[in-house]
Amino acid sequence: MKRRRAEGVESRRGPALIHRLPAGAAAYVFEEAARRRRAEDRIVQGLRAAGYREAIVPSADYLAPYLTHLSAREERELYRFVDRHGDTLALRADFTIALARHLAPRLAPGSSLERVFYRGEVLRGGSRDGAGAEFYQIGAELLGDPSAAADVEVVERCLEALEAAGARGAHVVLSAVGALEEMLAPDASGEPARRLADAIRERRLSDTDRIAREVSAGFGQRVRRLLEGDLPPGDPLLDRLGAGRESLVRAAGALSGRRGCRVALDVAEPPPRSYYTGFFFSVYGESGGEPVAGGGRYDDLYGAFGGPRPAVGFALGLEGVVGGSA
Amino acid sequence: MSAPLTVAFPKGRIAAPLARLLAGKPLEIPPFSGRGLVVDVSGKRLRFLVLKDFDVPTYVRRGAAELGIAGSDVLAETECDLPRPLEFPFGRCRFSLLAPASLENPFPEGRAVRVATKYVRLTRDYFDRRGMAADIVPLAGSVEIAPQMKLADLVTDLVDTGETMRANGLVEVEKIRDVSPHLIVSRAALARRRREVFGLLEILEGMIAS
Repeated sequence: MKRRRAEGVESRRGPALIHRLPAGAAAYVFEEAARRRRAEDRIVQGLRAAGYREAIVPSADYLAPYLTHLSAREERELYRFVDRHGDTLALRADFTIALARHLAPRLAPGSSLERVFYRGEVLRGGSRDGAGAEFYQIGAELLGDPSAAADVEVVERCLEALEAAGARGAHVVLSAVGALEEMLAPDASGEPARRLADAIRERRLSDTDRIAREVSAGFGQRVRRLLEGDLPPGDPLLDRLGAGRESLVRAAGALSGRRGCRVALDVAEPPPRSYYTGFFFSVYGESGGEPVAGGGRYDDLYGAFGGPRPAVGFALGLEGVVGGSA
Repeated sequence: MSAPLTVAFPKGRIAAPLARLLAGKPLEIPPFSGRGLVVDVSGKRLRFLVLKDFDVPTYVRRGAAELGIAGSDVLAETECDLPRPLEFPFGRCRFSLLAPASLENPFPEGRAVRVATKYVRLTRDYFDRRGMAADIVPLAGSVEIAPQMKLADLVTDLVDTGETMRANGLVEVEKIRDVSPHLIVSRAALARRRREVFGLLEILEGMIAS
């Protein structure tokens, strides 16, 4: 009987699948699991103490409401399936859109500030080497406040959460959607401005110099500062920004004295997700190639789900902080 | 003192001209000898990881190397979206669709064309753009012999001088894209070691220009 059962397992699923993990998946047991939970508990404790309330959203949801908020690449990363009614669902790849979808209808119009946090697994596929297919995300959102002070609060909460999880050292890159184009606008417009912005974002040194020289003789030096991406808060290029300047400068000021934290104003940094509309940031740890946390402002998202209000938030991947699949 | 900057170095077709460039002033990196795949260059605070070409983006993206050198073919195939500050003036070639010289019509009628390649994604994208069905046969190398051995109708591969292509009875049907080597840099390295990274980039930019 035992022999037949073993043969059955082998023939139906293959012996290797008993031990094999899907690309990017991870299992944690014993002390490793306990270590993760302790880090999570410390983060959650800090968020609760700061007045953030928990929200729980489904781990799978209808795909359609999400599609307009995803880039082509983000859409390709989704794990999707068809349920027994024939509807296409996707596994949770990000909390922010899910939270907006489920929270917006429950918020009274014009209601006051809301501070919300969430935690749970997210799944993203599509990477050739399987990196980070499943990871545990913890994040928080501040709803109803369009101010630079709200942006600064969220960055500070993010760094506190990283510290609570045991992260040593944070390299924070501050940026804003459209800031690069705004800084180029007085000198370049149309097709040259678009090509220049692309070259700066890809940090293509010679292309950037060449296109800048085509625009004007003295433009190259200013543009090189944008490409190298470490503008001092007093840099006159920042004066070209509209409302976005205040968030960048205030956040840089607030973080500059923080122990173990280094800040760069880099308008060539790409936003972590495509739904960001203004200020955003990425946090890199002392090792690894991907940000351990990121966040920013997505003021259009709640409106798309019937509860318009400004929103800013952050999320961190626990694996990036306490170790595990990178 | 901080750790050396780590550069992922491809050991494929651009290794030789790249080594010649790096041997020039002011870097003067001596040729990598022996079988060691991690090479520390004393006095330069540089470490080179000698890797398969297709592994370079993974090392840089996952933060095991701050910088790396890879062809635009590899970067496109691996969907690598890391910044690529420098393009090298050697190792340029093209990624092309190749067919047996004896074949009158490279695209068979009545069935999907069978294509052997190391570049599954680029090949699939090419046939998608053409609106044609293709049965792609993934291979790790020596793709040029696939039509002779009846493994595939066509091949997509890099063409430099065309010598290997002709030696295997193939002709170029269409150039799909130009290919050139690029230096890529991790965004994490920019955040952590911006000055050092741009310092090295400026040196390399000067070496390329001279």
